[in-house]
Amino acid sequence: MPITNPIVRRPKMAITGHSINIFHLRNPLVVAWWSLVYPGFGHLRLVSVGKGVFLFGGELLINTQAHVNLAILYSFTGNFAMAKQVLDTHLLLLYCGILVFAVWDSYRAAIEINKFSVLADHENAPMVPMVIGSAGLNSMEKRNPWVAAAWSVIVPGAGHLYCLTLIPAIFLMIGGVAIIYMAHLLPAIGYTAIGQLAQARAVLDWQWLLNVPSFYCFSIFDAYAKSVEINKIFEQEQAQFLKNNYQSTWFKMPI
Amino acid sequence: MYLVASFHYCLHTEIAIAKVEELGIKKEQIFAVPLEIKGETRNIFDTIHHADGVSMLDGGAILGSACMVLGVIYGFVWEWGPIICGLLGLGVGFLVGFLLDISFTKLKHSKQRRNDKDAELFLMVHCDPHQVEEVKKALWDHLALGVAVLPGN
Repeated sequence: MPITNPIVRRPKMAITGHSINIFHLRNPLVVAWWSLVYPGFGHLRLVSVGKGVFLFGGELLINTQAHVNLAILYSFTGNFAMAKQVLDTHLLLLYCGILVFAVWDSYRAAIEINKFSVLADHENAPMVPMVIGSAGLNSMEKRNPWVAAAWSVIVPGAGHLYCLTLIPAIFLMIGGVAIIYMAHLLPAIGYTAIGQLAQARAVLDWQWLLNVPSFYCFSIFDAYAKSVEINKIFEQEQAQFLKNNYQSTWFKMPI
Repeated sequence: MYLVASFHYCLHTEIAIAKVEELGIKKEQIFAVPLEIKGETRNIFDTIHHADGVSMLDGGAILGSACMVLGVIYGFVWEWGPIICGLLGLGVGFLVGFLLDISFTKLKHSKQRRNDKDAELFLMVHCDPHQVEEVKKALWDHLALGVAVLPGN
């Protein structure tokens, strides 16, 4: 019998009534890409929710104040004079710092977390498959990652509600709805649907609209990836439970 | 008599064990063999996700989000407007990224991918001959992938 150590030094996961947080091997380059798309997303990918929301808020504030999105829009369409004119220099330079920091820090953290994940697998400490609290229930079960992705296509954040992570879900849902509202996206979709393209173009707020693609794609991707990760932890926990409880030395082998 | 059954990792498997125990089979008469999942690696610098399915969306999400931003931007000047151009960008980018990812994954790791029908764990139950039928039924009722009966005492 191995000596059981009551202190879990390298846990694989944590679960509460509203959220689940796990160590899992992740490709640091993909994490860094999401930080490049929008500072904060890389950290959300690593389930560092507080850090991610904080960086996202900072970047959103600076972007909105300095009109970075508008400048990107004008630059990409060749209107460089307008791009220079529209930029507000009060906060602009900070944008670079936050962007590069987010990319660097999420890349670094991804590698660190991969190491923790390997160590946790090695320690193989007992995991908790479910928690029921006075205000919530979280229990791991196999979930279909494509269903999570599909719900996020319909409502940003819905896929996260499906796969046990309430706090990122709240952030993605409120943030997504706010961005869609500020961009006047839904009226524009209405005009596009009935063929009034000029009206659609006129009603949109371009500064806010450029936030939509990255936010939308991230919420879909992250819901999918989280479901896969949680499914794998479920399997790991179940295998651990079966090994600990159903491999008795008293079992009479057939041969 | 022995029964051997294969299962997936899922809640039904635990329920199957519970039902078998309720039939009077003791814990010591059940032996579980959870299989290690193929392709699972402890190499940190491997591209890690190729074996677990996440890579199915990596390329699609990356190219999709990039092309969607470009579509929205050029919708500013192109006739169809930002929403259609953005959606087209997302669709085309996702498809291209997804296909690239699949072709790379297929080339490099075709043998590591898990099949949905593969067994993930085995249960062995040691019971008296008169219990075999009811144990077998309990196993089948809870999504066993296959059940076999072995003679033996």
